[in-house]
Formats: sequence, C-alpha cells, structure tokens
Amino acid sequence: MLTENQLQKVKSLQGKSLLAAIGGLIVAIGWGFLNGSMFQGLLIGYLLIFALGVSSLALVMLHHLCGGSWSFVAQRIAEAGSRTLPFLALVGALVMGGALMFSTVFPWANAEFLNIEENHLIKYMSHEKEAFLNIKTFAICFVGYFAVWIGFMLAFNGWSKKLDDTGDPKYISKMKIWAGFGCVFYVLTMTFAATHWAMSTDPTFFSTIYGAWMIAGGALSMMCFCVIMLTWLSDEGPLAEKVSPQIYHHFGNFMLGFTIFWSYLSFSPFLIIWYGNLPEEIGWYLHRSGGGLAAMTVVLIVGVWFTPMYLLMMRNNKTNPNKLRKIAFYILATRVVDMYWNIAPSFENNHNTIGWGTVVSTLGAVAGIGGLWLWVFLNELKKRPILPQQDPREELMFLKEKAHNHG
Amino acid sequence: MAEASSNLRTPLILGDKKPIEVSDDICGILERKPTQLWWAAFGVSLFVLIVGAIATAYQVSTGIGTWGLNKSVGWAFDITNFVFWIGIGHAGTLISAILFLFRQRWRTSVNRAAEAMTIIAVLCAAIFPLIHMGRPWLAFWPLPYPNFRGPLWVNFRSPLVWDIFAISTYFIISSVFWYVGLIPDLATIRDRAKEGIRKKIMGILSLGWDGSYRTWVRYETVYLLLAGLATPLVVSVHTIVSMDFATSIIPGWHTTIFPPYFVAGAVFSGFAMVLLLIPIARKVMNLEDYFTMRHIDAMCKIILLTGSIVGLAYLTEFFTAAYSGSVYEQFVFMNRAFGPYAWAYWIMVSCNVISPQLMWFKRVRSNLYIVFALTIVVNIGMWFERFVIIVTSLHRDYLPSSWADYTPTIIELLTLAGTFGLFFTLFLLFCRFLPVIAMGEVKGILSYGRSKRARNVSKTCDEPVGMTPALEGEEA
Repeated sequence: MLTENQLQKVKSLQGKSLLAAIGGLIVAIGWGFLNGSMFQGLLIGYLLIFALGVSSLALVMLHHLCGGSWSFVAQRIAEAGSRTLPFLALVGALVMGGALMFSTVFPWANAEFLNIEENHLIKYMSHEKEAFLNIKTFAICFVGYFAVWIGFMLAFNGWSKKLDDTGDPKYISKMKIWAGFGCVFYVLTMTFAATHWAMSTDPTFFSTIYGAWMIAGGALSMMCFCVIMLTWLSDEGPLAEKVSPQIYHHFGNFMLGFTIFWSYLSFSPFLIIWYGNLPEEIGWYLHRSGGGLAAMTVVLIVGVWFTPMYLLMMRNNKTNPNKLRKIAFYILATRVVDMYWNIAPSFENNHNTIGWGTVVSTLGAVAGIGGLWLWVFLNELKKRPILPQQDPREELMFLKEKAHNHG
Repeated sequence: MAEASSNLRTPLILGDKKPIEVSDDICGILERKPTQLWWAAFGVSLFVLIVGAIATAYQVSTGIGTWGLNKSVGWAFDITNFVFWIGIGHAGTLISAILFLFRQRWRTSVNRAAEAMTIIAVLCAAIFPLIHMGRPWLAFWPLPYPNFRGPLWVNFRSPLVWDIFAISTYFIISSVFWYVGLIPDLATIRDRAKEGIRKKIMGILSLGWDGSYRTWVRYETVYLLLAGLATPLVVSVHTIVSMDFATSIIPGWHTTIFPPYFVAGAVFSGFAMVLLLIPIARKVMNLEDYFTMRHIDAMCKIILLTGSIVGLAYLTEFFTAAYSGSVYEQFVFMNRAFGPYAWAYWIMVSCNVISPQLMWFKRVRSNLYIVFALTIVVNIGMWFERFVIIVTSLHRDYLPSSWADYTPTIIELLTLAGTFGLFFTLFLLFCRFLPVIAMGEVKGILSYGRSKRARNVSKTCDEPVGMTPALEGEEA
C-alpha cells in the first residue's frame, strides 16, 4: 500500500487537479463558447487524455503477455489508468455527442455546413463515405469500442485482484491468454476509432497509417506518465525497494523507441503523400503548410522528434530519475502540440493558420479534462496496493533484473 | 503451487556443456569430412543454381523480352523476387542487432546462421535488378560519380536510387557485423587446426586475435556500436523498398501504411526462413542442444506477432480503400480479392494471416513438424504477397484498353529457382567452412554446473509457475 505520507501527497494532488479542472473547463467552455471553438478544443483535449486511459489498458495486457520487471512496477499504475475508461466513455459521449450536434467539428454530420456552396467537395466526400460516417454508425461504434475496452479492463482488473487475494497461478495463465486476444482487439478497435474520432474531422482525407500513428502517440504519452508517477511514488514504501535505475533505463528506452516510432509514422506518410501530390490527399498537408502552422511543423521536427531523441540517447538521462522525469514532462507537453497539429488545422477556421481561439480552448480542455481524469485516476490508484501482492512471477522477474545489472 | 523442480529458467543451451565441449561440437563439424547428406543437398542445390545461371545467361544475352512483361505489367516476377529476398534477409539483422540491444540472450545460438542468411539473401535479391537493367555490365551507372555522360546525373529523387544506397549500406554493415562476430571463433578454429592451409587462412582472417582481456573489451565495444548502426538499417531498407511502390500514384501501391507494413512483412518472412533452416541444421549437424525448442518457441512468437501486423495491414488497406471514396482504390482491392488473380490473393491471405494464427497454441509451437510446415506456408504466402501487390495493381490500368494479364515465362521461373539454388549452395558452404553457432557468445550463456545448483535451490523454493518460457514437456 501507499504510505501515509504518500496518501497525503495523493490527496493534495487530487485537490489541485480538481482546481485545475474547474479552471480549465471554465476556459474551454466559456472562452470556447464565445468564439465557437469549444468543441474543437474539447475534442483535441479529450483525445489526448483518452490516449492515457486506453494505453494504460494496452500496457496492462502487454505486461501479462510478455512479463518483465519494468512493467511489473507499473502494473498498478496502468491498472488504475485503465479503470478510468468508464469515466472516459462518459466524457467522450458528452464531447463527441455535443460536437456532432452543435458544431462543425465533424463536418459530415452537419447538414447546414455541407449545404454551403463552397463546401461542395466536403459534401461530396461525406456522401461517398456515408456508410461509415453517419451518426448512427458513429454511436454504435462508440458503444462497441468502449464495450470492448471496458470488458477487457474489468476482466484484467478482476483477475489481478483475485491473484492478490489468492496467489493462484491459474489467474496468470488466464491473463496471459486473454492478453493475446486483448492486444488484437485493442489494435483493431483503435484503428477504427482513430478514423471515426480524429481522421473524419476532414472527411476528404484518408490514410492507412492513421490508426497506428495514434496508437504510437498514445503509447508514448503513457510511458511518460508512468515515469512521472514512478518517480513521484518511489520516494518511500514498496516502490522504493523495487524501482532501480535499471528500471528507469528500460522506461527511457521505451520512450526513445516510441519517440522514434512516432516520428517514423509521422514522416513516412508525409513523404508518400507529398511525393504522390494527389488532389484527394494532399489537401490535408496543404492545410498544415501555411501561416504559423509551417513554423509549428518545424517545432514538431525539432522539439517533438529530435530533442527528446537526442536527450534519450544518453544513458545518464535514462538512469537518473530526476532527469528522466523532466524529459517525460517535456514529452507530455509536446504531445499537446502534436495532437493540435494533427487535428486542429482540419477545422475550417484553422486551415493554414494557428487559430488562437482553438489553442486557448485546447489548453483549457487539456487542463479541464486532464484534471478530472487525474482525480479519477488517483482515486483508483489509492484503492489497491501499489504493487501486486502475491504474484509468483515477481521473484523471477527481479532475478532477471539482477542478472542484467551484473551482466 | 506446482511441484518444485527448479526456480530458474530453462537453460538456453541444454546438455550441461563445458566450454571445451562447445568448441568440440561446433568445430568438429568443420573438421570432419562432410556427410553424404551434405553432399546430396549440395549437389541438388548446385544443380538448381547451374540451371538458374544458364537461364540468366540466356536472358542477359537475349534481352528481357524473354520475360512475360507487357506494356501494362512492366514490373512483375523480377521485383517480386527482389522484394522477397530482401525481406528474407531482415530476420538476420533483427536477430543480430535489435535482439542484441534488447538483451535477448537466446539469440546467441541462432544469430550466426541468420546473419549468413541475410548476406546470402541480399546477394540473391541483387540479381534481379541487375538483370532487369538489361545491360548488367553497366550496373554502376546509377551510382552518383563524376562521369563523361554530359550533364546526366542520377535522379536523387527516385526511390530506386535510394534503394541502391540503402541496400548497399545494409549489405556492407551486415557483412562487417557478421565478420566481426566471427573473429573470435575463427581464432578458435585456427588454434585447433593442424599446420596447413586451414591454419594459415584462419590465421589471416582472425586478425591476430589473442583472446586477451583488452581484445575482448575492444571487440565488445565494436560489436555494440555495429549493433547500434545496424538497427536503423533493419527499418530503413524495407521502408525504402516500400517507397519504390508507395511514392508512385498507382492505386494499391500508393498507401501510407506501406513502410511499417513492409518492415513487419520482411521480419515475418525472414523469421519463417530462419525457422525453415534451423530444424534442418539442427537435425543434420546434431545441434539439438544448441537450437533448442525454446529458440523455436521464441521465433514462433515473433512470426505470430509480425504475421498479425501484416494481417492488420491487409485489413486496414481494405477498409481504407472502402472508406476513401476513391473508385480507383476500391476497384483495385475488389479486383485483388475477386478478379483474375483472386487465387493468388487468397493464397496470400490464408498463408500469411490464417496459418500463423495456429502459433497461438503451445502445442503447435512445440511440434517441430508443424512449425516446419508452417514456415514453408508462410514463405509461400509472403512471396505471393509481393506478387499480388505488384501484378494486381498494374494489370488493370486506368484505361481499360490497356488492361493486360501477366504470366511468367519458363525463363523467369528458372531464374527464381536458380536463386534458391544459389541461396542453399552458399548456405551449405557456410555450414561447411565456418562455425554455424557463435561459440564465443554461446560460451557466455552456458548452464555449466547449473543442474547441481538448481537441485540445491529447489529444496528450498517453489517454482514460479507460468514463467518458464521453454517447453515444460521438454524439461520433464
């Protein structure tokens, strides 16, 4: 369990996160309502925070599938993250439901917008994609995606609790088997969800890599969040004994790996689409090439790809928790830039320009939804011991770790 | 809790070997005369290679009009084979570099053979673009060097030029990596050899290796650096090969998922080829203690993972074509699945997506015969994948008047067969003249004296159930 001091820390952070949430939501909704960017900001903010919840589930499943000491120490953090999925379903329903009904965030859902003469191309493409892009399918899929994720979340959290209580190895093999299926379903649902929730903000655009791109970004966020939590909670108590520089090194390597993977998945579609220069695809990049967005693209290259990659190449930055935490905070901040760049320029009033209205409401939404999410997350984290209690794999995992340290 | 037997993982090398036994086992193969089985296999491979060489000589002297290409299908068998062979090589680099960085110690038994396979596969791949150039003796022309051809300079914007850089770099680094890894083992052979030609050659090749502490430290540093260098190459080579297609505007080729999808497919097919060779080498050279079922199990899991990624890519492509609203994209994919080449498409799907799913079952992964059969199936499937991508996207042009079909000629079939002949001939020669297992590395992971240790520990500890990745059956 967390120590008394840690519980106090958690409680105090929960209070602060609620304050941030209230402030953020006032900005996102109030400011956004006044200049019409409310649902734009809320959608971007939601997708950023949602990635943490759903990637937590992925990490839980990956841990049970592959094992390993690095994921063992993060298992309870990831489990608590996955238990925020019902909350995320509720917020998602409100944000996307509102966006569909009261805004042009999803242009294909807004008949009035489509009927404007100059939007005839969007109208035509929306019509071509009607089988997938209609409110009924969207709603059914939304329920379906969350049913799959919450189903797996309940199963894994349930088995993990039973393993704590009984130490019965049958739950380990059960989790291992289901983790395999879970990973398959996770990737499939995320691919379709990315198309529905993010790619369809520009109904003229299509890209086969989009789902994987979103998954990579989410995984990167989750790794950074885990590092922040581990450094925060390993000052004393059970985590202090287990979390070694070697474990941070593993996390640092994963952060490096996902940074490079994200960059790879960002650059290669650009190269392919730029080279092809086809009218049905190139528009998406053209909307991101002018105004301040060109500068933002440079920020992506230098700040989101090169800087973290350079920092994470150095071993000292990965084994030193303080340094790694700073890099993790930095990467989480850059995730906001990336998600903004990915989605905002698709909105009609943000083509080729940084719409400061959307920027402010996005930042408000990140603080608002993020604050609420953090409150729910910490609440879940407190409910269970911070490390699995009777996992028979524990000894072997740390035995292996020891061998690595000496080898 | 299960019955206590050992609280340690299953050893990577079985048989409680001492270091000297490793040298005896591996060098012994090279020091004995080849077996009849080896001669038989070598004879068949060499024959197929000679047939391929004759076919190659014929098409080079006659021209590539001997192929079944036409004005719509201008790329077919040659590029299919080229991508197939380049893909095969990827497992070697993945095992030697990426798994090294990931500290997967099981790789030590298989890395040498897989690296050899990489180099041979790249050689096989290189044959096809060389022939396709029509005048292979001018193959140096795509290299950017000051020349007397006026202002004519290579087109740096062409992915085919990127290919030349990517693949030649890959070949050089892979060869250097392989050779550096071989040095300590070559020294072992040198030290064991009696005076004569073998001792002389090995003495030169082992670069004066003395086995001192300083030599090992430098060796390990170089090896780590080369692993770091080779890692991006694993990804870059097939990424650039995928760009040969993706940067065009041909529906079915021009799609953003191609780079990671090609890389996953390459690793998938490469591992299938390693798993095809390992059971044979294991049996023929009595290396059961080194290539254990644990290695096979681990490689099956990589095949399952990469096969599933490939399956996801097929699904995403199909879905996105339907979603795109582009009639050309939609037509290409419907035509692939239900057009004149539907048979090839369904072979591809059943071999690459359905068959690897059997590897979810431990019973399948622990049956060498089924694994062997599945690797053949996967290799066939991955060859067809490239055929489907290339031919079905080309044979239906935008203008129906340009529609054409493609059938390979006997010359093309014999050339493909010839590359298999080359592959197996070189691999068999490698098995004869060089150590198939990295002795220096394997000696570092021996379980020498372990059974005694395990017996002592098991008196006090229970076995952590569910964490022995090797086959329980084998242990029992």
